Amino acid sequence: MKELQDVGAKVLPPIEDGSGVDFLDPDGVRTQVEPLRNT
Amino acid sequence: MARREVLTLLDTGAFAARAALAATNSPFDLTGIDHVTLSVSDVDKSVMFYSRIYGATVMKDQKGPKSYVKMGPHYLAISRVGKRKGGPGAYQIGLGVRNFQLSEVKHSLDQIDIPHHEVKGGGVLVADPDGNLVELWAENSWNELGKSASLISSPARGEPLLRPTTINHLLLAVSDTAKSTAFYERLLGSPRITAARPRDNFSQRIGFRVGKYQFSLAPLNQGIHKSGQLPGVDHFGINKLLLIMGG
Repeated sequence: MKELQDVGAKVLPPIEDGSGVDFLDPDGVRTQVEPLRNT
Repeated sequence: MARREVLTLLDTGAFAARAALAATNSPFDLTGIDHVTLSVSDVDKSVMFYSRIYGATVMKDQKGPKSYVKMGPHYLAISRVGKRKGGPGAYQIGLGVRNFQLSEVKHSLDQIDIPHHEVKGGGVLVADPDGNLVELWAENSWNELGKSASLISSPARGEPLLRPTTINHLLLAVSDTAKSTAFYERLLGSPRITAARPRDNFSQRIGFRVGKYQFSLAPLNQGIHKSGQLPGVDHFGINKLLLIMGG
C-alpha cells in the first residue's frame, strides 16, 4: 500500500489470507489491518 | 472441549491443560480492547505518523507529554519511551469494562487476588507476569480523556488513509506461558487453545475472548516478525471499513 509507505510505514507481507496489510510504525510497532467487508 | 484440543494442550504441558480445562469466566463484563499505549522514541513524530493514517483527531495530556490519536472508536495513547526495558513498543493494553465502576473493578481484582493500582483520572492498572500493564477502564474511554487531555490541532492534513472500525485482536508474546496463562485466565476467563493459522510462525495461540474480540498469548520468540523480541505486544489488529460497491 503505497500511501502507507509514503507516510513512513514499513509495509509487510500479509500474514493471514492476503486480504489485509501489515505495517510497522517508525519504532517497529506492528499493526495488522484487515478489511471489514460491508456488502 | 474437543479431544483434539485437549491433546494439543497436553503437548504444551500440563499447566496449560489445567488452565484451559478450568471452566472460569472473567469477573468483568469486558467489551473489547479499548486502547493500546505505545512507548515511542519521538512522540511528535509518532503522533504525526498515526494521525496521517487514522485522522487528525488528537488529544494531548494537560500535564504530561502523552498524546492520544483517535482510531475509530478506539485510540492509541502515545508516550515517550523513557527508561522502559526493551525500548519502544506497545506495553499497555486498555480493556473496556461495560458500566465501569471503579470500586467494583477494584473489589473484583481483590477477589481474584490481582494487585492493582488506580490511575488518577483513569481506570485500574494491573501488571502481568512480564510487567506489561493492563488497564481496566470504561468502554469507549476516549470520551473520558477530555477530563485530563485537550483536543489539539494535528499537523496532519488530508483524508485519513484508513478508517478503523475496531481493534479486533491483539497478540502478546510472553516469556512464561504457564504464568501468563494463569494470570490472564483470572482476568479474562477460560483460555482456548487455537491452532496456528497457516502462515503463523508459531505453533499455537492461547486465546481469550475480550468481548467479541480475541486476546492471544504466544510463547516468546515465536512471534511473527520479531525473533529475539522481549515480552510484550507482538502486534494488534484492526478492522477497516471496506465498501464493496454492488456486492
